[in-house]
Amino acid sequence: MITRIIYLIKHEARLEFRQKHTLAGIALFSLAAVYLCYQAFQRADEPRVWNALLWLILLFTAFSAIGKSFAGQRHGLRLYLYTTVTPQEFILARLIYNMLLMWALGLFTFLMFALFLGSDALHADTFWMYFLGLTAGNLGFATLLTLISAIAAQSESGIGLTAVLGLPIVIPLILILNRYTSQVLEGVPFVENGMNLGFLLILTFGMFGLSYLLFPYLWRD
Amino acid sequence: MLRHWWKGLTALLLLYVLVFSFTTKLAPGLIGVDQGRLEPGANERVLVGFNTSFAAEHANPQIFLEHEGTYFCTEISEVISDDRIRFKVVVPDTLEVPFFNVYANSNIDGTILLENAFSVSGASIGSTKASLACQPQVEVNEHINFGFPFQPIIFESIRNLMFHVPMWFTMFLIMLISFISSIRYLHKPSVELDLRALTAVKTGMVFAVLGLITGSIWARFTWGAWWVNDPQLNGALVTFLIYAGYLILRSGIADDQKQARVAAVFNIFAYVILFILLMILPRFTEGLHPGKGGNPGFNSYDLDSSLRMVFYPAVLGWMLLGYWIYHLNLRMNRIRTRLYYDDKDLFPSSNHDKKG
Repeated sequence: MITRIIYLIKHEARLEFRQKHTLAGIALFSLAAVYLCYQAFQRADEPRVWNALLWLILLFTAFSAIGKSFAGQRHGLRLYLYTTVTPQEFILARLIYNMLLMWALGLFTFLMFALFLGSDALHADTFWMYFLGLTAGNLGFATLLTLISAIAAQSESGIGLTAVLGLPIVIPLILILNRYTSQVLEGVPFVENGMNLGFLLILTFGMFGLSYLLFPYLWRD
Repeated sequence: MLRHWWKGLTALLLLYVLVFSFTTKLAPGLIGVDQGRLEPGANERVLVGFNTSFAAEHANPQIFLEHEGTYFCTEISEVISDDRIRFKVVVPDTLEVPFFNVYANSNIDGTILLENAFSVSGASIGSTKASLACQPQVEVNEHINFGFPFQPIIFESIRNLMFHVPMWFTMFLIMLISFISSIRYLHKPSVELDLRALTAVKTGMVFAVLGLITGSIWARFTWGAWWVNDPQLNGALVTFLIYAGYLILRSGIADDQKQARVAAVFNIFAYVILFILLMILPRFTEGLHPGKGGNPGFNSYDLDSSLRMVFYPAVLGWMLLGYWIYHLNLRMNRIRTRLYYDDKDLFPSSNHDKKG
């Protein structure tokens, strides 16, 4: 099972890199969003604003990266996968792949954001806490949106539905993320703030488990 | 006929709730003073009460100023009306803290309190001169009248408790029905279970809207705005959006079985996230709603016995009414589905979802 999951992940990655335009398109999207914010704000000096802007950009990057993850699938490929792997293997591979993808994209966006809008809000000694929040947040986005995009792909209205279904559901995640990271920027020690991170992880793992349990019902059709 | 006893119970409960939530008087309380600043020496001020009966025959009202456990007696110079009273007080020139609480005691209203009614300007800070202090010469009787508790900002709007809060409980109950139906649907698909899930979501949304409206009116009265940033309000709006998304998702899928299956998956996912958002997160967030800061439940609503006597029946009554409406809708939808399948010359129980 594990070898097949690893194979599926590799397969996904190979597909993604073969059609470079999708990956490049998402990177371009986040870069353009960062630049738009830079033009609108010049420098976001207030840490809260800086933080909120970053999360908004990451959120939309996640939507454009993960939201289409089931839409582009060709029918023949789906039929082939249907006969060769179980839905559990498929969704695990998809979740892990999306997590890796979103983590890398998140880092890229974060670097671009820090480059354009400045990194005065961050402090060297608390950066590891911020980085943990960034990682957990991106993994959370990836997990949540994977199942949502699988649901939206079943509908005839297509990709637009991912935003309709996903945006309200992502709000709890954003609320916790925003609280955790802005408290990091305010210098709240980890002992007090760690609970929020724990919450984030519990939420992510919960959604991971739910996706694993529910996906088989979406798979057969 | 006996099968429908719970409908009679619902009607009785709601009648009881309507009558008592609107006719029960509010307990007496103090609203404020005509001028909130005192100076060392003799002062004359007017105290304004709410639902009080200062002017009643055997009321014998008395007023005390208090801070840090030290009481100052006052002299009543004139009882203007039931809710207005003029009194004289002598303030010493050295005080521990330059603030005073005001107690009013009468044989009819009991003892009522107005916190931080006065601030004192021009007094030096030190230990309060005890020579002017006195011991109150009355029995401290807490509640004499039966009534809803008097809360400073809330006033009469406390009656909304019987309508606003149960709406959310009802919504949660009905969404729970939908959640369970969806789980059972995935386990063993049938038209009936899908109908239950869909009907419950539609009925629950009505209660979500009612909860939002009653909450919004209450917020305008107590917090001064129709919408404020508060975890519960965010949760309420998100709930509404998520279930609206559920209905949009359904309308986007033409195939009946596929529609039911995908909707069930989304419903389960959404309910779990909502549960986290509405039940767990607000406990750890600062907010305007009562019961915050790791203080779950609503003991902090200051639910005293008079409120409880109406609130619990209200919760039960509204929940039963919600279930009743859901039940009616469900029966209507069953007939509609039956007619639909009859038109297509299909019989639901034999054909639907067997292939899935």
